[in-house]
Amino acid sequence: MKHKVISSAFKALAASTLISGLTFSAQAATVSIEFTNLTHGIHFTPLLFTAHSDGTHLFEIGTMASAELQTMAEGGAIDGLVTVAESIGASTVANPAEGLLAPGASVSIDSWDTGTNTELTVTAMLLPTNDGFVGLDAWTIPTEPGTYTITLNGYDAGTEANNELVLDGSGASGVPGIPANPGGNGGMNGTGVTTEEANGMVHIHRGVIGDTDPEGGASDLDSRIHRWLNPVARLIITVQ
Amino acid sequence: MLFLSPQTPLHTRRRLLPLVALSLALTLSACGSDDDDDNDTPTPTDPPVVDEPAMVSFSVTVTNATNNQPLSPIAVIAHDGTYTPWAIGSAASEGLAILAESGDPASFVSEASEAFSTATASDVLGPGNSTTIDITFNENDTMALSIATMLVNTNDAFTGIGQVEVSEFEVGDTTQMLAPVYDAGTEENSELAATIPGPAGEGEGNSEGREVNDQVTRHPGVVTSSDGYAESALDESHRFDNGAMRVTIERTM
Repeated sequence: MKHKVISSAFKALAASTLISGLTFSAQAATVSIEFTNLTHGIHFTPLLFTAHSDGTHLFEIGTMASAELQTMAEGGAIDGLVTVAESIGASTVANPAEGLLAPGASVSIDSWDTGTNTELTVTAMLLPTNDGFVGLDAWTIPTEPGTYTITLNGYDAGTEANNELVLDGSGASGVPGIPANPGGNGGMNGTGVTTEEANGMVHIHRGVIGDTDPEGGASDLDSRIHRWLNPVARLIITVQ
Repeated sequence: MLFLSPQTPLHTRRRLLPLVALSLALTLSACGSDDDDDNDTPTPTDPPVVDEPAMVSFSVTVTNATNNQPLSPIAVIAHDGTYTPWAIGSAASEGLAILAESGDPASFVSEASEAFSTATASDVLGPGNSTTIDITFNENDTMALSIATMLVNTNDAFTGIGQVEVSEFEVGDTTQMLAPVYDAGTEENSELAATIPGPAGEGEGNSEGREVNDQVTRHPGVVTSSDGYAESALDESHRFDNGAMRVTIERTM
């Protein structure tokens, strides 16, 4: 079995597109996936893996987030995205980790029959953030059997100002704030990092700022714990 | 790996076929003449067939993937397999230094004297926005594109993709990638307003001299006033992570 390691998402995007240009037959593919949270202090909310046809996107850099994407990115709920995926004939694996995927933790999907779908999209909210999510946008699944490794980046849905305040009820769309800090390792009573969102489109997340004051400061996040750098996740896919 | 990193020169191939065809035609012409009688009319021969080089076109669509870093007018250079617009660990060219410090792409593209063609966008590209630059040139055995632009709310950060191999592209083929952020190494990352040409500073662009660390590297990111650097003209909105620009290249002709 061939093992192809593609060291970054940048090259992965490039490679996948070339592969798609060379092979365009829509064959049924069965794949297995191992997915790892690479961050130091960020949990992933329920993951959505969906295989769909070419030309569709659940999210895309430079475009406005759909209401369903906003719901996922601000509160973690993936029901809306699952419904969208079903409506476009996608094959979906929802919430394989059965809840949160902790920093450093992995989850596997075994023998997933993706049917004739050729593109893979992955999403999950980055927690604790306002509207950050880990994403893979319509990556072309290789048709040649083998094992492929790609990495995923952190995105900002562009739908909420990153005030970095943990507030009850803020998981609802349009309610500013971070709905929860699963690690319980942040601060409280922050004054808020910002009230503005400069880029209202989906974009690469600039990271969180945090602070080192557990009782106040601007942010309820801890700058020593909750920062990350891309990539935030690793995906190893075996095409059978 | 399908795409070579900027520090790796692309393999160069020479175009041999036209030269072979030309020498064959000359040989045939010599055989057709009669050396014994100068008055004989030479046998007409077909003139050598010289292929007009085909034109190729590529569209380069870029999307600003940062939160609050407008991108200076995008520069695109079409070149052969040998041109290196920048390399990690090497000093930035003068043109790249000017691009990375001021956002002006003119010197960066003009210093590429061997380029097949160059193109620059006319405007700054705001966060979340996209633009397309078309570039047309004579087909060549080795063809590559390089794209660069400044993150204008920085001292000398630029994003781009160097030496994207497009020799094998057929019309309609596309590729897409996310561009990392580099530090040109030509200006200290003071983050002071006077040194930031973008709206966060409205300071000067290009400056004299080089950093002590005069080499292109990946960018360490910005510190900003939100993170305790009070003198910084930047705030947390200007921070960025890798993947500052999405680039989609399509061969259109």
